[in-house]
Amino acid sequence: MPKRHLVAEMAIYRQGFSIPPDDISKVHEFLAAIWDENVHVPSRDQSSIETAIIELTTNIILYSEATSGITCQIVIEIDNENVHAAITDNGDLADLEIDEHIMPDEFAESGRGIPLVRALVDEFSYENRDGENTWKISRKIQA
Amino acid sequence: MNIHTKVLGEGVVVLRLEGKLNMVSAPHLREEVHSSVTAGNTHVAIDLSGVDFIDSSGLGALINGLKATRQAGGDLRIAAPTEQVKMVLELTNIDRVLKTYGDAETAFSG
Repeated sequence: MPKRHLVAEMAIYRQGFSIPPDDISKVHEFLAAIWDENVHVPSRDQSSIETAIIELTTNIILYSEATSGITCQIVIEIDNENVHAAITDNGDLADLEIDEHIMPDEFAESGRGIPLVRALVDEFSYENRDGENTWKISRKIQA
Repeated sequence: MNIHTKVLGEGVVVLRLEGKLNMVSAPHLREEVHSSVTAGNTHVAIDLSGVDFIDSSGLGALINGLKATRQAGGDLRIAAPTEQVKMVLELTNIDRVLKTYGDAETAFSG
């Protein structure tokens, strides 16, 4: 008997942002609509992914080297076991080493963004190619 | 994000926040705490029950306020954080320096 392959059901969401006029609230709106459709994702996982995406988007806005507005695209994939997100932007941060960013001491007023993302997700990668950044995160959905 | 200010007297003020504490709203919180300190209200209790989201920019504003109040001889305390806020405070170790109180109005009277 041939082996049966079970293909997990996957939902994919994709949205582009132009900053300005878009801002961080547009990203929250995009995610809120996704969570409304995916109530099987526990709130802790929703919060973790949302916080990580907002941190990365904030990072893009604050440190972008794009000269004529920031464009970014967020793709979210949700299956029964994981939430994956990929953010691509035109900000050109080629020298960023995410592994070198450690959580600062409690009295620091900045520098927590990248370490917080790492604490929120199971997988985190960053790549710069031809002036375009791609940030990928994924988190296992808690049973 | 909205900030509602309530002066309780004897240098104590409660700031009740509503909304998301992120890169857009963090500067407003920073200004509000500094205004309170300048006005002599150096004991600042932040009611977080209406904050459904905080990020590292928001944390930066809380730490900035903590330092500003302490430098003026006061303190900053936080009350009633929601689940997402609790999670972020724990993951960043800020729960070690910002103890959580149940109610902002009594954070300085216990």
